[in-house]
Amino acid sequence: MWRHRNQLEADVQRWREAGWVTPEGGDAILEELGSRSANFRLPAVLAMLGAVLLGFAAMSFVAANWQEMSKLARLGVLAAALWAAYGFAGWLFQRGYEAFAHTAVLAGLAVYGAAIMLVAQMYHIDKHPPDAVLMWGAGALLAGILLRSNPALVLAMLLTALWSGWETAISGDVHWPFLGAWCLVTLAFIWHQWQPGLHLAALVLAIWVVSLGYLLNKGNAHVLVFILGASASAAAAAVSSVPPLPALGQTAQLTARRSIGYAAAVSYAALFALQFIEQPSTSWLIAMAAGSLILLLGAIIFALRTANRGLLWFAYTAFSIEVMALYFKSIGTLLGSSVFFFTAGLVVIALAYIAYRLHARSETQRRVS
Amino acid sequence: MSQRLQRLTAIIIAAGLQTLALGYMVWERASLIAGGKEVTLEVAPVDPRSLFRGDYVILNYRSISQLDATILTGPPQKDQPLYVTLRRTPSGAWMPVSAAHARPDRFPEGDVVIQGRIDDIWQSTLGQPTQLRVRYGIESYFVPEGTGRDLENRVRDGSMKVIVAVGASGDSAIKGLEIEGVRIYDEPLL
Repeated sequence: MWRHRNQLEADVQRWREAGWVTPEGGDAILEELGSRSANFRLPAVLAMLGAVLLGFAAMSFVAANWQEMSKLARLGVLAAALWAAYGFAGWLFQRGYEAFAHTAVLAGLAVYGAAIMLVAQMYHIDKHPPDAVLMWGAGALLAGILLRSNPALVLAMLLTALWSGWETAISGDVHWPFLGAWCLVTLAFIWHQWQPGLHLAALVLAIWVVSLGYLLNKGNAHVLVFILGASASAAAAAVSSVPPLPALGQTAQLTARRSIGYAAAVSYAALFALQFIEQPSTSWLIAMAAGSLILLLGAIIFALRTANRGLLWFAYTAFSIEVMALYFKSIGTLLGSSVFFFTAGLVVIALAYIAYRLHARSETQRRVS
Repeated sequence: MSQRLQRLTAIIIAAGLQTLALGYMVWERASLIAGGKEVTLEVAPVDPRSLFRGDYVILNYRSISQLDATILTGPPQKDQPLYVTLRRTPSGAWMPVSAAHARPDRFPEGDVVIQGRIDDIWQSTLGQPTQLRVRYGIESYFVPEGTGRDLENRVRDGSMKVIVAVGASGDSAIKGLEIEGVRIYDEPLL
């Protein structure tokens, strides 16, 4: 965000000098930029961090198992704190302090989680800890929907992930109920039309899909995960590339465009497992490594042409991971690796040359016409 | 004004439902402890640990945490519920007499059926009966900060027993502690 701002300041300066922007216009743009500066967000961020600390205070209070107070009194303290947090949130909402109100909601949810732990502790309940996480997450989803609170929904999504991860760790099996909970929280994000929440939802779903590769078919389902990820990437790329269709709608195309990076990450995670976690033969490894690099180059080209920053960021990262992993694994022998990298390097440089020629030709054609 | 009212209603519903959920948790436990049948079980030592909910002592029940599969009618299934019927011996100890994956319809008056879940199945040596590790949800005893070691010593020298309340459905909760035959501690309901 800061980078973006510095960039824009430099651009405005340049445009002003070029005469594209009037001096007044440039000042107005910079002023508008200043009013949305980081300082404006500071109180909200600090309040959010304060709420997190209060939540930990509540949990430590529970963990201390303080006997000076009766069970009822300890429950009373937490119930009072819960109502105080929500009441304060209501007061802040009425005053128009939206950001602080959401912080108070988050504090209320932290107290709710601590109270669940307190009851479990008081009655020595040692049944099935993920159930407590589910109960907490349901409360977060409820508060998120009723109070239209995005931070509460973020907590709900994180608790969904924790719940599902815990269930999987206990059973060693795929946790299908995750999909239901994920859908509910994601629908709430869609209803709120909140982009960062949808990114979080996509990230959590991507991790879950990747985990399928390690859980299904005795832990050897990476091919399936690759097919899932690759077809989702292809579908998303196709939907986002066609000219705007009235039937499809702009939102669908925008969503598809933003999903490509996550779908591509899923397919690469499966390819990574097939190459470096399973034990393929050397010729298979070479074939898959070459395939991965070609797909990643394709992703980089596509991302640059469609200005898709998410996809570009993923593809650069994955490219580095792939090269480093190949270097450490070494293809047959170190000499074999050297030949592989040498060939790959020549091919990529040749591609760069071809891309340059194509670009130069289209540029000449543009000038002539 | 109507929007303010809406928001207020939303807040009351959110906080109210969360309070109700907590209240239900408490009521469910309190009624089980108050109304369930009592069984007293011996415990074996396991090291105390500390976690998010504070210090606690892990309880391993001598008679029921590990069972011979021969007690079970039919083959054991991991992660499935197990209903263990307990009977009081003349010496006063509660011992398992049978176990099944389905809850028995009828059992002798005076017996208690407790519900657990098979955590693990293994055979230590060939020819020996298959062993089952069963969890009942009463394996943790949360203690005030810093007092875990004391209770742990009690468990180690074998002088401590746990009084467990068992409900009609087989659900169980820790109700109190017994040291050298004397009931020293009753969990207050609230």
